Amino acid sequence: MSQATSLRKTDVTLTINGKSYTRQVEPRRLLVDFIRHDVGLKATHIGCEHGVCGACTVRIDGRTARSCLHFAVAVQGAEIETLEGLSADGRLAGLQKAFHDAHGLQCGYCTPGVLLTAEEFLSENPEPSEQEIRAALSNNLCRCTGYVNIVKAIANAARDRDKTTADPAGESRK
Amino acid sequence: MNFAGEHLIRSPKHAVWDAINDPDVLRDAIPGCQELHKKSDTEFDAVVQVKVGPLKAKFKGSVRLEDIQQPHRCAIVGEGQGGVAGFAKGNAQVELIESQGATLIRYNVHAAIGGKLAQIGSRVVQGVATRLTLQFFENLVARIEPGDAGEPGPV
Amino acid sequence: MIAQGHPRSIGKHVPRREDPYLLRGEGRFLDDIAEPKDTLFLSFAMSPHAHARILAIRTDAASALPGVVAVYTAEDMARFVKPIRTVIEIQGYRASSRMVLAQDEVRFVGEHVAVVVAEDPYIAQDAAELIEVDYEPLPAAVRLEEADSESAPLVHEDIPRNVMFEAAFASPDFQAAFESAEMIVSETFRTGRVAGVPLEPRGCLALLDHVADSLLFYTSTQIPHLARTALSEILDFPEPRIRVVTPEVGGGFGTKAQFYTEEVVTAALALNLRRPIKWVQDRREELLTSIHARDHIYRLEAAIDGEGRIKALRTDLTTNAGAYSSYPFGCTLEATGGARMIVGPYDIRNYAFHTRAIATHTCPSGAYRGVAQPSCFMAIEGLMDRIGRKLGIDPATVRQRNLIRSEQLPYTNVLGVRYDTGSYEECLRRALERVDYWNFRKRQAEARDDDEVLRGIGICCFTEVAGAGSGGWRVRGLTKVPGFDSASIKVEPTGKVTLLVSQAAAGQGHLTTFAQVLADYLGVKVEDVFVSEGDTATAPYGTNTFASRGAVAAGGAVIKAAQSLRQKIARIAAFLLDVDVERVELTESKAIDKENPEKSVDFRQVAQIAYSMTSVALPQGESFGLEVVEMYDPPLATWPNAVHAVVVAVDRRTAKVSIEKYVVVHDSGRLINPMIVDGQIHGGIVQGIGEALMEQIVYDEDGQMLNANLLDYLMPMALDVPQIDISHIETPSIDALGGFKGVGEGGVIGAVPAVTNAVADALARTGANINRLPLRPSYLLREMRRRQLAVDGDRK
Repeated sequence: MSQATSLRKTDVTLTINGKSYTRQVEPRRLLVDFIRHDVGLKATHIGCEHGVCGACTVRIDGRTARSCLHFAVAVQGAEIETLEGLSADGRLAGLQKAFHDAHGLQCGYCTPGVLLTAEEFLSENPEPSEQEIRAALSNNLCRCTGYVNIVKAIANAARDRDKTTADPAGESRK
Repeated sequence: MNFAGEHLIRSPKHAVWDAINDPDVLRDAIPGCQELHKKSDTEFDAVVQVKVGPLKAKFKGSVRLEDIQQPHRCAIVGEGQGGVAGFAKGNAQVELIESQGATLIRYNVHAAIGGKLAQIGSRVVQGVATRLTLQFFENLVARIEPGDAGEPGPV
Repeated sequence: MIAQGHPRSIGKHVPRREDPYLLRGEGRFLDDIAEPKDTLFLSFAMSPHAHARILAIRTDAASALPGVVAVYTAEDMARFVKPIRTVIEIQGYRASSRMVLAQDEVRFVGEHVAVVVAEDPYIAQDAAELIEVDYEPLPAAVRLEEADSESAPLVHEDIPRNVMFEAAFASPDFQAAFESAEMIVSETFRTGRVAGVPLEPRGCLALLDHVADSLLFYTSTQIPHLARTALSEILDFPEPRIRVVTPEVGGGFGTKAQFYTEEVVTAALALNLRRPIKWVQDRREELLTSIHARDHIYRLEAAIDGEGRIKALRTDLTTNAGAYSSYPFGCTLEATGGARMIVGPYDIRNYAFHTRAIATHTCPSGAYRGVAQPSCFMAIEGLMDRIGRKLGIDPATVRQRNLIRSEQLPYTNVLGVRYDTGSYEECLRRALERVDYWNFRKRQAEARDDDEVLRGIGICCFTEVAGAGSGGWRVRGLTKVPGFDSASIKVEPTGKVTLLVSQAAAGQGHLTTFAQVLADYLGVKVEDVFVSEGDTATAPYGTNTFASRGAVAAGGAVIKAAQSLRQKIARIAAFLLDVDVERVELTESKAIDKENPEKSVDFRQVAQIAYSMTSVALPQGESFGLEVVEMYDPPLATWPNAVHAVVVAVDRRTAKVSIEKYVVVHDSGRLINPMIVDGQIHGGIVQGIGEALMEQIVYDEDGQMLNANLLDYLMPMALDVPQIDISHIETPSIDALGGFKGVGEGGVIGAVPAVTNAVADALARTGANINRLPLRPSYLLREMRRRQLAVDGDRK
């Protein structure tokens, strides 16, 4: 594998949750390590480092992606969003409440990735069937909940969203 | 892991035999081969770089020819250490059959891999081995019959 | 005990306190703890061979890499680290010791041979790749069947025939009963090798407090206290100067209830180099080195009467121990567990077992959720179905005839173990009703031989050994597992309550459930209770979190401590209210006069006196403070029971299994938080579905692990999971304080046998005999074809 020769560091600038960060990193630096260790945002977790488990899910330029499968240099200049950002501006509030009410999390390790997947899914499919929710979750492994209450939480969040979008005050949020 | 196949080369048997005993030909034919030295008439040292799935590894190893029945058949026994990527070892029973001025090479390979290579690459390794073998013969053909491609046999 | 008027918290769906911070991504798991700037990182060089002699290790290139601080081999480590030796005081156990880095010989793929310490984790990994090791590969004993033979290569020179543990038992009348029975039904069951695979891999961070010359050790574990004691002994470092802290743990499942070599290395190097040391494994390392489980062979013979009643049962169990005895449970846990638990909820009066743990050149096995119970119930429940098929009696009826009847309770089983309460018949009755069993059987009888989809139904009746106290661990020789747990309650000067428990949760919601227990038993508002656990500097000593013991052992300790503290609160309140102490009742953080409920003082007023922060003096004879610590030793075990009933459809062409209906009737005694209990059952069931249908650690004949990644180690995804219908029966334990029975493992224990039996039932009409896990399509198709060939052969 790559040895000392390939370790020349370069400047990488990413916008994470609306704030610009420039760090000198090796070309092989994973995006998830940039987010977690160079910037210090720890909501994005590492579960497998080979793109299967979905614990490291973030948004890159508006689309969910696995931050363990991207090198930081390869997404130079991108807009990254993590759970911290989506929580802070309230975009996840409905989902977070639904997960709390339905007991949609246990250890909480997969939860950030699941929330990001669910948020994107619901924005594209506001009235999903149970089967569609399950299919959308094929990007995320959970070892605690058996998915039962995750599916329920997402279904409940979709239902509650319907109510808020029906009400004009909720319109502005979307 | 076992696999077998055959390959037709439009050259006489003795020319094929000489080619697979010639370090220069082998160096060009073995995919990813960076170094190959003849230690004795039946032994070579080699350095080969191989990519298996997400792993790229440099194997340092030795190749030995055994059970030689010139120019009909031999066994090629090899092993390579890929450092942290693990190791590979195997043997191939190779038989040369001449008919109408062409040579059919028939081979039967038993190979084993270990370490990281096995842990994360086992799903793709058979495909890689088959592809590399095919490429080896294509390269060999290119060396022996310049400007002409051989016909790959069923693998 | 609990005040009449106190609004009950136990039994309520109290939402979890853990959720808000976890949902914002603020949970601090091991790798999220900000390490000091001068922290060094570890990376291990691992063996690529299952069995080999180490001829030479060259570390020069690794040491020369800029950023590398040191490289250690076994020889270096031996200077300051003792080997890990798992002591188990049971006859037939042969202890093996293990150096934290392999010395002279490697015994499984992934075993550590050297460790690099570097300034950056990427550099540490680079350097580990530069370590060159010359090995002389040796023949390996990989598969259980092969390791268990005279001619097998030895895993340890001093363990003949690779038998690490062997035990036998026969009840007094076994032989006579066995020989006089009308017929014998026998079967061999082979379970697959699986692992817990928590989503967060293992890791630890060791920091030094230079002033106090002490070690602060963060580790992703379920057993902080046991880890602390082990560290002290292995490093020869005073236990009082070690503080183990469990941060948020991203899933445990027993995988993290073991103490591992990497924890020793991390702590040892921090003490030795006088620098903070951090180690976090990647997924490949996790699958290679975290304990595996359930590579078992059960050979069962049941002597039965014409009605399908088991008159005598014989179990021969072989378990795969792996290369070393893991710590602290060792290689005996699965072997004793499977042999002892298999009689389950059945009235079997004559029983004999022979059980062994065999060493192999594979990763050590350990205590994964359910331990041997998913496999032993797969065996006995599979046998129940076979008895039914042999006699032409419905398998549900066979079970009904063999279950312990409610009037037999409390019941002492053939091994002398007491089941205090249970609901075996009622659970089965209700499960059959909810799954619409008899109608299913009718429809199944109408199915045709050429149907493309084969449907089957599977049942599992089981008891679960949970909440074991000291007696339970002593019976199995596990003297390093104490058995008691403890709780410390402090009513603080402000009247709010701190509850410290000797537990370390990995998602079970302890901060919520123990607050509920204390609220009821102390008469305090649930929101006034703050729960903390996992830090050995604050939490009292205990056995920690595994084997479905949290609610029983620590719940009992909370009750015991509350009972003791409420007396003091009542006495001080009685003094303040100027009434007899008998008239004082604690409810909702107040002490009230039962005969005049308008008259009350709140906990704050009581605490102000207890802490001498008011002009009112402490009543004579009382001591200062409102604190108590209590240890609670539960009974030998509590016995939750349940029935799982599953309907599956198997595509005859592809052998793909779909679960169409999943019913659970569960009895965990008294439920603290039904929402959390259901969550535990869901999660366990899905792990069980994984174990039954897809999960498998694969070693090739040379001992190479072929799927040390999550692409190839298949675990259930959301689409693989059915709707799960859970209902509860609450039969409180009369032996355990609070009546709780524990719920951590029941899901997986019931799921593996029920799913297996359902698939076997579906395929029974093809003549295929399904007795191995996992039930992958390739296996099911092979069995159906084999049977078809046999039938065709007979016709010719």
